[in-house]
Amino acid sequence: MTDDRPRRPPRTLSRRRLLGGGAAALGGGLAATVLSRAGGEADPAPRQVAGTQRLRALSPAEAATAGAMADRVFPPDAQSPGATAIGVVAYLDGQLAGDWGAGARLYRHGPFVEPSDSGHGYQLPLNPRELYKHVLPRIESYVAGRYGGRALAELAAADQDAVMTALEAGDVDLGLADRSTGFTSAAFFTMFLENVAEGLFADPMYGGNRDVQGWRWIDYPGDPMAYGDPYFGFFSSWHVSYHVEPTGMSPMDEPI
Amino acid sequence: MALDRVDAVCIGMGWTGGIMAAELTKAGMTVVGLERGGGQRNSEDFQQDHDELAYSVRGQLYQDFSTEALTLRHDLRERALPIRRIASFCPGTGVGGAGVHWNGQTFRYHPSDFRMRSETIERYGAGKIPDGMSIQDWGITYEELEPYYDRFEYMAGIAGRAGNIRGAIRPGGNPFEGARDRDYALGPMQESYAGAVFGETAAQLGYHPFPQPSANLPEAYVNPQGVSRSHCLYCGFCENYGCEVGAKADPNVTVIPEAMKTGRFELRTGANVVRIVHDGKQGKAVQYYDRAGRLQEQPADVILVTAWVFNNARLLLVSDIGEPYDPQTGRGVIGRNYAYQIMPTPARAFFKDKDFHPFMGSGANGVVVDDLNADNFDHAGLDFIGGGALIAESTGIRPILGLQVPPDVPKWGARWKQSIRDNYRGTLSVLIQGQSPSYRTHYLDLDPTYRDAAGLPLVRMTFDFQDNERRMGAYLGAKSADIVRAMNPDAVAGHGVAGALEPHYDVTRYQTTHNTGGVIMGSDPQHSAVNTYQQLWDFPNIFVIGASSFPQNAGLNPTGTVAALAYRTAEAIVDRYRRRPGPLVG
Repeated sequence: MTDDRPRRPPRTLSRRRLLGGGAAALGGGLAATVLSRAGGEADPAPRQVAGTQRLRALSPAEAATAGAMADRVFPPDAQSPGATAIGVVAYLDGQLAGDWGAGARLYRHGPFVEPSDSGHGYQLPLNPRELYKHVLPRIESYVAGRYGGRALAELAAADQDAVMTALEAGDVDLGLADRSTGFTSAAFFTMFLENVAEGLFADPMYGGNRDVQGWRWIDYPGDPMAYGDPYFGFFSSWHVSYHVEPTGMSPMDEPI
Repeated sequence: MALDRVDAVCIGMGWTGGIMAAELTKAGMTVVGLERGGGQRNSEDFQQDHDELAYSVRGQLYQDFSTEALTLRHDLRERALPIRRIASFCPGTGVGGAGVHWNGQTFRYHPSDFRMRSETIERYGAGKIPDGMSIQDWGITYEELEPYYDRFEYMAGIAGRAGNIRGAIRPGGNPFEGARDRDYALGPMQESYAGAVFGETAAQLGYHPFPQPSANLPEAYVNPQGVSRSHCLYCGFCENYGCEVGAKADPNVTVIPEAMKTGRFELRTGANVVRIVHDGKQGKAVQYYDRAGRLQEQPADVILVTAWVFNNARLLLVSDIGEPYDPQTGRGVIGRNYAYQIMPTPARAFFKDKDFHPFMGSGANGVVVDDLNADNFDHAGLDFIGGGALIAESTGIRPILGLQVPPDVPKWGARWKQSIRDNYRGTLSVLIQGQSPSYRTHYLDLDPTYRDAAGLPLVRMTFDFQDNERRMGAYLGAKSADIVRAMNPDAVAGHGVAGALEPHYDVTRYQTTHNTGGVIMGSDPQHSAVNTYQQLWDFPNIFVIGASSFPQNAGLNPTGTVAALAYRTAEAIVDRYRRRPGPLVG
């Protein structure tokens, strides 16, 4: 059985902080319950985000392409950082370097045949690592040809979005498909969106969702069991406000 | 080298293997359980499994497709290609099988489901059945199966609200269910806000909503076998996950401990069965590769094929047992009538001012409308047969796979980013679980090209959605759209969106793990492989147990019916077959 999860220390009841108004945010007795579960522990200082991540699968140029794309999927704005700052490229690089990137759980026996119809899913002989390393330079070739030799990361946002739209439409030749039912740039784009969502919203121990910023963006509490706060007593309390600082499975939210 | 003979051997240790092992060993028989995956897992093994990436995205508990996949072709002419990444359906591996990572949604099939062909002809005439559709009666009635549904429901602690007790219709339950002898083992789960909104709206429109029956305990429960389990915490991690408190009924915390306690059950893991040895009349033994890669042979008086649907059919085909089905001539039975379900695009309501606490949930925490399922409604003016359930689930919406945005919002970019923030807590989806009946050209056989890691041919599935299901999906989608519109949300995915299916059955999107058929039951050996005791017509000491027996699928979750059939088979083996081995029918 494949298990490409990082090892992590045993779970402990970790600190838990209610956002905003604390008790005022919750109704009477329930608030007390939450606070007693959450109380007593000091709120740790925000974790220092490593400035430069050592890449394990992607080259710096490939990482730059993936990062420019990811930041058009989940762009930085006044309210939150973009995908790259949240760790999506670090996540992707780690996954590509690990079991998933090597094709774990993927049926890899040939013959490999391009489907003549839709619905068959992935049919290439490449594992995800090989696929990304094939595709990202192709995207840059496309960009260089259209935008005077510049890289995707150097383009204005509107031009980057035009490249994204072309990818999504299946209009960028990645050299992997002979027909529209094969692995076109649209198929890659779908896969990329899935991987970006993983990097934004997977448990922080995988290197993305840095400082639970992905979860915080949508007000998702993370792992309720990490702090001994099962929902049993809240489930029927439909109109009680429930907003908490998200917590991952790993006690300190650190990538391990 | 042959091992010591035992009374019975189970091939696969999920729900059906577990139920058979428990019932046979308690009756004094010796049973060996062969499981190709890993060992027994208890709740302590799942203390740190709230990991959406590992379990829902990568499928930690699923069958490992790198060693064994399936192939798919959409019709008899297309070239079959491997399903290289598991996604559309998710069989399990390891002790407990898919019973570890299921959601716990535990229904009974409708009385009309068991006689779909007769019911359709009686009510609408034979011309109502579309050309090429090969639906048939099960050969067993709901009433015959009722005591065994009851047995499973009390063993597992199913929580729900009865709609029909001995013919008396009960308010708040499902009025379309078959008569049950007594109420559920436990009252329903706590109701969610989303379920309540859906239920109230559906009731206003004249439907009959009821709480989804749940194998996740709403309160602590001691079953008739003396096994006690604690209650659900509503953590929202059921489907794809193991339960860390044992609240979810799972073979590992129910039937397998029952078997273990007898001292007559031996569980062997890492045992990959590759062949059933036989003499053309009786099964003699099963051959398997053990964990060390040695070929072993286990002789047994009774052989219980209790793997997932696909391997039940495959083991018979590779062992040269029974006549393989031929879609050209209609002859042969092994592989016949593979069926599935449809789960088309759901209708969704997006509310700015509602907070459904979507992260809270339980695997079978939903409100269901069954009015448009099976033959519960008049199809006289409609251009399809069958139907489906409409369900608003609160099973825990996790963010990698679960975020939804209104249909006019792009899938990426600033608008998408803002929309997932605006809509995560306020989205209500109405899922459609529809029937995909059986067809003459939908079947399972051995792939001529692709093989598994042990060198055996993969199962080749020939399957697609047909016009009947597309029309059904469109109809159910429109009805769902009416319901979400009546909720007065701020945005909808409704008319024109809900009910759509892809141009062809698409293996990349999760739909359901409700695969059925291939070794179907019936009342005669020309049209079925097994009798209603799931006993092969031609090999009376081989029983093939599971959803492989369903002649066609229904629009509800199959586990309750799978388990009921297993209990009935176990009882027949213990009470009748053991005393007088031979055919139990005819």
